[in-house]
Amino acid sequence: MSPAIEISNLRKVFRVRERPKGLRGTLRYLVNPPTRDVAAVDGVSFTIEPGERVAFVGPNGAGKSTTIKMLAGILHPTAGTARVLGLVPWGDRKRLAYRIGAVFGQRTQLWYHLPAKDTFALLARVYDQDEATHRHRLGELVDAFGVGKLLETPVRQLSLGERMRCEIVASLLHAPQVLFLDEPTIGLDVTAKAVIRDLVRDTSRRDGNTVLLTSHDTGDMERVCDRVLVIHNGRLLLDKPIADLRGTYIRRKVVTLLTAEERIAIALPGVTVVEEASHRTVLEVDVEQTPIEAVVEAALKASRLRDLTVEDPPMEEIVQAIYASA
Amino acid sequence: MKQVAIVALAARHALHQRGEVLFRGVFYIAILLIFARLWQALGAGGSYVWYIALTEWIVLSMPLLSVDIEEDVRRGDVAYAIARPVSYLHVKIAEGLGNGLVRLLILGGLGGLAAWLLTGTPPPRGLLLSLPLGTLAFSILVLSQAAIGLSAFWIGDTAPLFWIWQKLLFVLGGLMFPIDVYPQWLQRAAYATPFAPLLHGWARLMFDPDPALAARTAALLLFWGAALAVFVAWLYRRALAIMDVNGG
Amino acid sequence: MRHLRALLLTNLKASLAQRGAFWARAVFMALNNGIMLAIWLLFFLRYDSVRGWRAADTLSIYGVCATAFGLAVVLGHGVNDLARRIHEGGLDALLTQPKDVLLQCVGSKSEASGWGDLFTGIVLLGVGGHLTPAGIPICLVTAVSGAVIFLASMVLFHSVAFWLGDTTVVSRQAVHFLLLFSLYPSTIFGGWLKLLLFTALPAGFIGYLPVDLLHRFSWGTLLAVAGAAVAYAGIAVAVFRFGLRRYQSGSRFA
Repeated sequence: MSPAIEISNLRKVFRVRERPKGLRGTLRYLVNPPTRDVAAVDGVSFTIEPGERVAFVGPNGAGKSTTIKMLAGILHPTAGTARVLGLVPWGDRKRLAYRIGAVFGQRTQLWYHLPAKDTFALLARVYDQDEATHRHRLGELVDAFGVGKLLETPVRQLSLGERMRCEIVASLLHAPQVLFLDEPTIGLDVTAKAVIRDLVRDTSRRDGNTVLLTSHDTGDMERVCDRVLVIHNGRLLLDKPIADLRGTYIRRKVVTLLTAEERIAIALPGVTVVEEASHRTVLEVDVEQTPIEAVVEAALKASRLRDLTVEDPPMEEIVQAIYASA
Repeated sequence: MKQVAIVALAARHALHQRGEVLFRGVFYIAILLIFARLWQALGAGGSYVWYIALTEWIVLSMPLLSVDIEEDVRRGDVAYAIARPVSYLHVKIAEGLGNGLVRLLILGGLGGLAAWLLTGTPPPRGLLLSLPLGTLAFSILVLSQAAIGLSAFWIGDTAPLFWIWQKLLFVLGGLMFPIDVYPQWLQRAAYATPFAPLLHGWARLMFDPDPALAARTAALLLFWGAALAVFVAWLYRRALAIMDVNGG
Repeated sequence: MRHLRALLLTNLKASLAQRGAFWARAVFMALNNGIMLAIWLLFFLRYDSVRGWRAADTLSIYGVCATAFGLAVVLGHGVNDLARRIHEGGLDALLTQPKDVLLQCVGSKSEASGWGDLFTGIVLLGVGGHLTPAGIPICLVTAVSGAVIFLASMVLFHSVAFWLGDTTVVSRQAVHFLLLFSLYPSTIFGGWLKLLLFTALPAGFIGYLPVDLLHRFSWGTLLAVAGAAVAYAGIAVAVFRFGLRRYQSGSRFA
């Protein structure tokens, strides 16, 4: 079977105009603006097999969105080659469009003043779906995503999480073989994030579609994907199965405990206190040495727990760790 | 006086938004170009072009004060503003005047130059008499915008009111054509309203630079201006009373 | 075609979704047109004609332009945001869909005030005596060609954003100018101004020639009007496609 996505030496250079100050500068700017080239993606190559779920991560401005936009046919690259499902995205944009789906977390494709079902009906026309196919597919997705009750509500009245669920349904309606998700959980609360992650993973497992998602949230890649590509400054830094990463770079979690007691002490291997204030203790846990469950258990024993949060280390930290080890 | 300081500050602020004034300026010049051609085609004199140059001058210089006040009312900002040692209403009017002053100067320069190139020199006595009256009319327009803005306390959306007021000004004030082209009864009706003196009343001095006519218009403008000032003050007091009850 | 129909229906539904605003905008626009026309009629009470241009001509030009402009913004007001969408990456979702990006973008919004324009336009064409069995086909042609030229010009004015960044204000101003010049007695313009009105600011093809056609039918004029619509549409599509290669999806680097 041929790969779902195959890119080689992909490069995208943006020409940035620099607006000078003062009247003379402005005049020159209008005639012949001074420019500077910025390589957002600087020679990236990788291959993704059908059915793989890949996280494309990196800090803000690393070039992940630019890459995914080239793969979706939105941007023309400056150099390099790419094939998605055997097609050149920017050359065969319309043919490819029938076979891919895309969600851009910060933009909506839903009609703001209308219920989502109207957008879905329009999309059926955009993708030349017949009535029966559309109804069947929509029924499937509505059940899977639990959006039955949301269909009749004008989109502007939905919560961000509900809207994102509808957004993903919209991108899956035409049963795409490849799904691009650009920051699908951005701005969502913890619960909504978890729901979206599970839905994306389960849909991909069921339908066998390939998923490429960008995120700067470590949770997205851990819960959804099997493989991670780390990009930084336009270059690929790392390409590994998630499991490998877990053993090396994301073995630490940050646990914050709010307790009735002023102070508590938890002595476990691999657990260090990062911050200590009255009624509040922040721990860093090496999950290879002590699993999170054991830490929570110990905390429950040692104190009357009021609140507890478990966080992944931020993306920036992981990238730094990868740098340090490379 | 604090109010003068606010006028100056708003004027300096407006100077930094030259782009917006420039767009108004290009529009202004296009209008003058069209009307110069129109009156030329009719064999009429340059005074007609100078007439519309004057009326559009103050209409295009008008700041959108009513929108400004309406937004303050909607956001509840008026409640904070009245805690200051200077009246919110005075601040807004001073801001409008300061903003408008800059536009009056820039657009006046542009429009004067364009009208001069298109039709030649204006009757100097007419210009001398009409400019001060035009500035007075402009202040009254700013004041009426304040009234429209304050109405947001009762009607919420002031856009329809502004729109009606603006259209009445255009038609009864004689923005495009001097209302002398209207039938007699309509001219009389127009002069029974404040709109005719606000535009036609002083811009017509371009045709007939008669000091007596100027004095009559000045009297009319002062009368309507005073009436409006009393009305705005009353409106503002009622608005404050509403805020006392509802807490802004 | 089925897709276009669905797009238009969705678009109308969305503009009707806010019923109050819809009616307010439509009614205000109709009133607005009525007032502007009234000023002109008052003018023509005093001056019989301006270089052969009479009240009836102004009635017709308001009828023709309001119909065309109304049609344009009811069907394609998405173009009003085109420059901003180009600059900020608002075409992304459309680019991942298998249909024409420009058509989808233009058809993504319907402006309610356009119904007010359409209403006044049709009434004025009726009052002008143009809605006769012989006149209706001409009115239809000029309404459609006018709408196409309006939309094509808007696409051109907004496509500048591919090269110059967010030009929304300037682009909208240009549209404003087009409308402004469409409505004045066309006989007053000559020389370079006339040239301008048949090229960069094609008001002549939207107002002047159609009015001529309504008053003195000739196949030549009809052909010129229809040909201009096709030509402007062609140029607009070509320029947009050319610009789309430079689309940066809102990526900016400080």
